[in-house]
Amino acid sequence: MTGNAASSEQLRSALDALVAEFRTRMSAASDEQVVRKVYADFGGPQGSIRVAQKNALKAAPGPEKRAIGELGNAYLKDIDALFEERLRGIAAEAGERDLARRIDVTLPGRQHRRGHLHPVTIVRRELEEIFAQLGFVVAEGPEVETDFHNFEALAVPKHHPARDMQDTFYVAGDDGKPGDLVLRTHTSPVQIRTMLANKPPVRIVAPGAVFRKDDDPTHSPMFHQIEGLCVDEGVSFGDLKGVLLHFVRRLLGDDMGIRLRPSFFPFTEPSAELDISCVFCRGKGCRTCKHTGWVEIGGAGMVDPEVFRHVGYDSEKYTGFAFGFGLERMAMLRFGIDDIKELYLSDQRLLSQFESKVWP
Amino acid sequence: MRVSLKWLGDLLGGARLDGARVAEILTAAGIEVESVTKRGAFSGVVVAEVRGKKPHPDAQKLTLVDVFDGSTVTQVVCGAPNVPEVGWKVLWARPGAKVPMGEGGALVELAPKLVRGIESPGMLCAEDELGLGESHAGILCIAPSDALAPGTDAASALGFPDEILELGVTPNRPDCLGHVGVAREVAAGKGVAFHAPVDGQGDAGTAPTIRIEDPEGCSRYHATVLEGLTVGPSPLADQLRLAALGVRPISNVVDVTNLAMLEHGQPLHAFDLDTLPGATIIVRRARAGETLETLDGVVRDLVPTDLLICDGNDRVIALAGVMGGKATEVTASTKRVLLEVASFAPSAIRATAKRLGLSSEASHRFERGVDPNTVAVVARSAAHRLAAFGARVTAARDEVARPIAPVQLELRAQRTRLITGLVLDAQRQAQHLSSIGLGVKLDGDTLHVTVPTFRPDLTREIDLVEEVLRLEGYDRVPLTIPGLRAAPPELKHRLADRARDLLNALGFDEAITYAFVSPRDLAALALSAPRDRIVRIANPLREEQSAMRTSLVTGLVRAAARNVAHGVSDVRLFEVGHTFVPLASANELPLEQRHVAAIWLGTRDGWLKPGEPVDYFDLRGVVDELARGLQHTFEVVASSQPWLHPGVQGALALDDGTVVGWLGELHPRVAAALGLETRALVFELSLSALPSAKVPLVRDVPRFPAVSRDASFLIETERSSAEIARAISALSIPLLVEAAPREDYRDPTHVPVGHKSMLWSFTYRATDRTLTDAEVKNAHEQLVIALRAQLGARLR
Repeated sequence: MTGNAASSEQLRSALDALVAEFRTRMSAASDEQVVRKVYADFGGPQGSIRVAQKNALKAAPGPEKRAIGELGNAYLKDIDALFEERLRGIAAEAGERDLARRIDVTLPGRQHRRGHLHPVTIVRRELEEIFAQLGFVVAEGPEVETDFHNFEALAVPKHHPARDMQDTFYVAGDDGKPGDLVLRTHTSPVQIRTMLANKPPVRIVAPGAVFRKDDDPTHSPMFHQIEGLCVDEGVSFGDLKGVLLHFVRRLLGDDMGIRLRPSFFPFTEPSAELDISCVFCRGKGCRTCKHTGWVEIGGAGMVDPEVFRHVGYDSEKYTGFAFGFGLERMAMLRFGIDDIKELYLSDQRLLSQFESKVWP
Repeated sequence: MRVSLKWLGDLLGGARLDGARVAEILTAAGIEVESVTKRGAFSGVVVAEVRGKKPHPDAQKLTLVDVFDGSTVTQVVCGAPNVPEVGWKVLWARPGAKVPMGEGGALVELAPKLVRGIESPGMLCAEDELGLGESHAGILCIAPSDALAPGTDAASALGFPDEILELGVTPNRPDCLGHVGVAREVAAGKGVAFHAPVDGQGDAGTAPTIRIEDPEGCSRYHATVLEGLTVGPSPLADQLRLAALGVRPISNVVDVTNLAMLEHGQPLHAFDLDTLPGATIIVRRARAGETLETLDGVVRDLVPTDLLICDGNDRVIALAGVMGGKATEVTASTKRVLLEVASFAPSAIRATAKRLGLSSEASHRFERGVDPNTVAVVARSAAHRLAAFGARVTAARDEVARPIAPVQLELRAQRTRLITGLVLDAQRQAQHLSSIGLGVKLDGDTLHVTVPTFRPDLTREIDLVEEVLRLEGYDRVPLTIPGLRAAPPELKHRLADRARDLLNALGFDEAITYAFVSPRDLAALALSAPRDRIVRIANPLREEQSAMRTSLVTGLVRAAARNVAHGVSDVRLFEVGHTFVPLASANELPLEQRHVAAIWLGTRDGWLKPGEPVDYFDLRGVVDELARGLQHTFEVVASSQPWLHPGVQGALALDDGTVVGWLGELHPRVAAALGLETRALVFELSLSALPSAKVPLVRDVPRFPAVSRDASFLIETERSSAEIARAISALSIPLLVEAAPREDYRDPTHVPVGHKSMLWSFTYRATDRTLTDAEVKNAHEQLVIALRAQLGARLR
């Protein structure tokens, strides 16, 4: 009995001393690394407490080993708890220190540069989206066109004064003289290509670059149009008006109005010039609209039977409307750009200003 | 086309018209009114005769003019250099007169004032002082022969105030190239009747002799011989009217032909009969080798398509409907004229006018179609005007080679309703058509319509539908939306927009540049584009815009240079657009492809310190991300494009090896040739060449951890990382799922010549278990051995 008590007591006092030292060193430790080191020094596999336990076990006679083991484990459990607590304390101190951190929040952020779409693209996409809701799909065609698609099939025969309405760039033939190819003067040839390839009903919008030999402060020799075509049984001029008003209001606001003025295009009959309420004064009259309240944006009309004849559609059975207008003009109105030429300068200081419409 | 409101009013029975209202009517009728300008807004100005003139005693440039206003003679001080001789007449604005000399043409009331010490009661007026034109070169002078009497109120005698409407007449409406046609539209718009002069029987005299050898080119020729003429200036009223309408007054004879043309839209021509061998006219096409000196003094070579007027000796005296000849021009000494009023075929006149680049007031009208059935009216009206200058008609003949009858059309009233969406009964449609001078007979729901020859544009039922709609008013059509049918989307188009979005997200702004570029720029690019491989424009605006681009790069480089010149140091631009490559024949559509290209120069974004200059690998990252977004994989393979830096470029190849684009550093010499002095990175990719992308399926997320091992080795410089990656992949090392280069180090002080030091990172993973250290070690050793054996890599 005494032997037992003696070795237990001996171990207990040794461990009490070690734990006291552990406590002292642990409370002095101020970062996690030191805390772990201190723990390892006492409670690790080679730590002094484990060593003391092992030595006591070795020295103790068989029947006492169990008690000695349990005694050591109790001490180890204590320092484990102290260790965990100290770790939490350190983490809490670190958390407090982090919360004391102060930065200059007014410095600029790291850049994540985002590019910008060209205003012509922005307006084109908005229009495509609006027309898509009305069932119009996007169609395209080449920019170098045949005389047939650009003129002939659109009821503009050679030697017709209507050719003077559009100053045309001709592609040089093998002899360098104007040949049978032109830079398309409008997106209307896409109408022809679409109808030649499809039976009615047809409902397309055709955006794209067009070219006219015109270069002055208000004209650019290359610009963009969007063309619309709707052919089916029973399509009327009233449908044309309804579609045009819908798109103008979706694009520019519900207070916008449209006005169709009789005009002449060889490929539509009846034909109309399309005016919309002045975007700036909303129809009240200002400098931009020359105090008329209206600005002209394009042309429209019912597809001429002559065009149907060229594409093999039966004009007794089918009727249709077509419209076209300049994307630059729409973009200029949308963004308040004065000079069409600015759209072709590729000046990043300008280009980086344009954002797509955020639909309400 | 300019029209005088006053003249329109005269044609409408002396109606007083309001310019703004008429503009509204014409706009709604489809005749665009470009401007309305007030003209001659003055009052209190009288005609006065010059009775004497002497210099101002104290001022060299001033004249003291005695003027007689019908009752008294008054001395007026005049500063003009052209005070006329005694007997001539001038326009005298007396004190109390109101003249538009204020700001913006506001009226100012005149008061007597001292001019260099001598009082001047009012002033003698120049054009601009009365709002009759821009000229301030001198005062208006009226010839003694002019019928204007001293004391006459100038405004009412000269037809002022007036308003001038500038009309944009579309090519289908030749009838509105004369005041009569415009008046007809105004009448229809106002709902009042309009009676145009009736043509009636032509003159059936036996002289002059008219021989029309080409009835297709000339359907009718009316010739009048007038004798006893005194050629001189026109009366001031006529001169001012012509000037207001943009026609320069020349002489009374020429002015009469012009006034008649402006009234009826029918061009006329007067020949000096004494320059002709006799009163004989032959109309025929030109023969090879013939020439004519036209009125403008240019000798024109004629070709067989030209329609000619010839004299009795078959000598050419005019290009029919385009321009008269110099030799037979009416001059100051002309006594006898042969007056031509004729109908020429639009196509013939247009061909000649186009060929010679000679567009006249006459050819403009003939090209569009002049009413063949007003010829006699116009001839008689002109003869009547010429009578004021002593001219007597001694012979007149109207030769009709090919009568042109009115067109008969049918209009189904239902057709109008269907096309317009308007509910309009046949009765109402008939009323509209009648209001513009068409003959209409109703037959149930069908209209039988007789179209007068002044409307050559109305040849089909649809043309009548448009007339009805126009006259009813476009604004009366109710708005509807056509029923909806869906259709499939256009994929290629979406691809282009996807590329735009991706490049936006990667920091690039979208540019649009012209599709025509300078051939020199394309040459600078040294692209595979010799002269015959470029689509050229036959009639460019300028040489720098004469070649259709084969690449988007030149436009972007020019744009970047412009940005740099404007102080933008960090340029990131892209463009999506078409390129053009000719096929075998220049009459065949060229190969047109949609490309996307970008240029990048400047520095990477740095934060609170300057960024590093961008390099090839920045661009490569952009191209890779673009490819991922377009759901394609491009391998970069060796390339040797002359426009890219020889050591910093690659081609973008699809799996099957098809090259679809290039990327790299722009060749410095190419950059310099295009005006860019800065190092720039560019890529260009053909979107048209991309096959449809496969819709990717999701891959399983790994469930077991991966283990990474690095290897650092020396390897020959020529071994590209793509080659190393391919070799590693071919080794089929078990468990190896990824190999990625981490370092490429070539400092010659640490690396042997011809070699580079590389660090690669290898990832090992099994799909069904967590790997043991031993498994990884085994696999990695196998890899290292193979690298040495296959690629000569020496582990460091």
